[in-house]
Amino acid sequence: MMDIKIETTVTSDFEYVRLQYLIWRFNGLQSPNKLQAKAGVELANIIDNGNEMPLIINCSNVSSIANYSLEETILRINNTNRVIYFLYSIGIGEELRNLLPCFHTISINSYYKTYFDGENKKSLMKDCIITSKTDNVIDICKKSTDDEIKRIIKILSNCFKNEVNLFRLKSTPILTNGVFNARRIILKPNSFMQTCLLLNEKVSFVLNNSMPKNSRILSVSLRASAFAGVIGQLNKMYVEIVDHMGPKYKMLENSKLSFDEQGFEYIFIGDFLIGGTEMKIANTYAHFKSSIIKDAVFLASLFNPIDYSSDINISTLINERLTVINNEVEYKLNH
Amino acid sequence: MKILHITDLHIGDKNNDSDYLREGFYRDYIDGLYSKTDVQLDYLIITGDYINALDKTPNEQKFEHASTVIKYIQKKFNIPNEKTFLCIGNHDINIEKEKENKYLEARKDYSIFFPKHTKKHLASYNNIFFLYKNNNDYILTLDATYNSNGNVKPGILEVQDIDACINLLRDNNVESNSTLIIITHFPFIEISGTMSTNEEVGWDDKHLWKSAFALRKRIESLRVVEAQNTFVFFGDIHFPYQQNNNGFTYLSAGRLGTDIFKPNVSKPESLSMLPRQARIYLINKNSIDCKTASWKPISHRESPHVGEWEINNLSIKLRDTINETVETVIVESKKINVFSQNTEQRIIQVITNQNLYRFGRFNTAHDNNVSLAWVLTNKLLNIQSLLCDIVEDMKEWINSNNLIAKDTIMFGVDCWGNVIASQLSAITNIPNYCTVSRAEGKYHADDELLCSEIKVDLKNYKNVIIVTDVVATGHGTDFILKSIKTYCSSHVNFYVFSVLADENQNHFLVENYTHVTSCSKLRIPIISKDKLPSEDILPAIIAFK
Repeated sequence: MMDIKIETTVTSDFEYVRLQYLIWRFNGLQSPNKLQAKAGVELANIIDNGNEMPLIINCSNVSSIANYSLEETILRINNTNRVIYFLYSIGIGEELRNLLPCFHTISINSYYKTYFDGENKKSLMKDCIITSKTDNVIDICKKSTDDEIKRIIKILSNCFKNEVNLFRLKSTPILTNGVFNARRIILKPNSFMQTCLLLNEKVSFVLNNSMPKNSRILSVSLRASAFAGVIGQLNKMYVEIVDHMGPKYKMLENSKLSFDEQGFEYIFIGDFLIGGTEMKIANTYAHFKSSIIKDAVFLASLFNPIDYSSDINISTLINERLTVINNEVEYKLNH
Repeated sequence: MKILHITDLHIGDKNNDSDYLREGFYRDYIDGLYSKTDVQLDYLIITGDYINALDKTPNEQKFEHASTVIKYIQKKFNIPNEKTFLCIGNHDINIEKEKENKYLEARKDYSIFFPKHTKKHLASYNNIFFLYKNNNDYILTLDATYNSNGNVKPGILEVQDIDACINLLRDNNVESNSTLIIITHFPFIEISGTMSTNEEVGWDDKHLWKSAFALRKRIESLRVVEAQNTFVFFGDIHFPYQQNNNGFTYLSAGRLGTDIFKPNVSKPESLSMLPRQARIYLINKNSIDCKTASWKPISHRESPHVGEWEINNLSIKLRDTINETVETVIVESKKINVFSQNTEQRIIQVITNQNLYRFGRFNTAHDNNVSLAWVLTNKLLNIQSLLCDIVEDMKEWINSNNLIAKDTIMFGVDCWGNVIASQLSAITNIPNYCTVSRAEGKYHADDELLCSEIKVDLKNYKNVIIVTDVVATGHGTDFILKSIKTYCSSHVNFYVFSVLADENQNHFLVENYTHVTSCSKLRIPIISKDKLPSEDILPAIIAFK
């Protein structure tokens, strides 16, 4: 019997959960933007789980609610003293307000936008709907987003496997005392889902609501393909997977079978960006297909992304460098 | 309790050559179905749409032929009127009369038809709800078209109707420990994650009887969840479905009738290509053994007379009884099993329609064997609703076979195997370890196959699932199985989940595995290298070496 465990984040100030996480957990990725009955029931259970602190429900990327899916949730809201925040709920704001007319709506800045793009850029206005008036809405929303990013940084930091001695990486002239392996994220379903959903925020930001018809996701490695597959499902984008261009590259499927397709703008999904060799081979592959890698999104990088390439717009899920998120990490040039 | 469930006969002109239930063929069709039945059935349940409203033949004639067909089914399966129960479907009403709110006149033909096949009811309410009793079982039939105003959609139940239905159950002492069978044309529970619900615009409005959701809640309050003795049979959706929720088990079969598939150029994968079906349920205490009989054409084109019935077995677990031993599908070792025939058929259709099959010489990692075919899995698995269905089928199998997450680990093999396994992991909570098999890991870094941590952890698992996209010669999968087996305890169950695996090929060398695939019917021929000309004459398109 499957054991579907829901992980919310509980701090001294609030409890936090992403609505899209519940949708994925209970309804898969068939309709990832639509809240359906099973996820709705679980949301109701979270409201009534015995915690008393405010509950923040991050509704980012959820755009519709199936009929009657929130029946139980509304009942529980009416019977709880908890303050419920429907954060980034612009996609379902109207439906929520119809269900509970006494909701209060506040426009707040998207903190993801600020995190990904720097404090000085203009931020998008996104709704936050709350069940009762409070003074610290913006502060608690900012805290919850900060906390989510910190959790992801911890997940990424735990990917580092330390070795005793420095060794040379297989594909680049860099010496290191260990490697970051995204397999550790994929191995834990909850970590994988949380990372994918935040990575999707980043990809949405990179796409900036414009997705040319000829855009595709490109992934060229074993571990990155797991993330790319989900990002493709969440954004209804074609995912081109090339097996593979890792340290020992050997393209197995594309040799003579798919070069007839040409003219794409790729968004490259990678895991950890160290020397950039894999991305550069992928770029050559793209050029062979009269295509370009326009954007590349990684979980994290060793150097500043801007230093890797002048013609690919490279960005990382977290702003902090690998040597910062884990102070045991050591990299140096092999010369 | 053993039940035959049929639905959506959609009978039109009985002389239409394209119709499965036409005068000249229905007996062969039913006889074929009967030949696949090995038990005496207790009930026949029919969930509406006996006729096809769009066919111009007068309704009386269509109902007359429907009656002939049903009489034949009753006789063949030896199920008398006393054990046959029916409800009305949206095709069975006169739309014009319904638009004028003439409820009884709109259902005049049906009201003459249905008493010919069932017993006298115990009680009823306004011809909307009928309650029957057979021994200790209660059967409630519902008119899901009531108050539909001729919109060819589910009707609207008012509060007083719901109250009346509840009173009907109460007043007739329908105890919570008695089995309750509810028969409705339109479903009244959310159905999600299927091809049709996602691809047909406005599916929910056309097919879900939303106003009966409240009725469902009210009936739930009269029942005991743990008893697991409420069964809701419905039709209309044209594909098989099962769900257990809050003590109720919802069951649907694909349609039995309708004329043959008319190609739809704009939507080649449309639902009209789903097979005609009937279902037989053996309801046990904790599970339901479900046999889905699907009519499979055996000619190049779908034909209503050249085909055969094929049986697919499924075990539906009745939830909330997990402390008791549950019968599950027992899968024979060495035989390839299929997750879902619908998904299998869809995969073949996609490969056909999108030209994803390549024929030629594809050298494998194994020196002596050559694969003669290659499928462009990148394109196949980029049909996102199909990928979701594949993952969902795997989840259902895991659930049906009671694989517990904490005892189980998956190995997503190579890129697409890893994509599938990671998505399966998210909805099952089973950890996914990504690994490599192609060319026996020759082109990957040393620890990409198995790292030292997993070698230690493997001893803690009772079940190991290998998830891969294609099994051709099976040597890649065999390589993974053998590598993993070294580090497992001696009593581990091995499972291989694949998307494509030709049932005609002998795969793997490792013993005691269970292989389940999404598609076993696609031929991926393997040939010994010495039976082909040299590579100077026939060069390899792809070589794994």
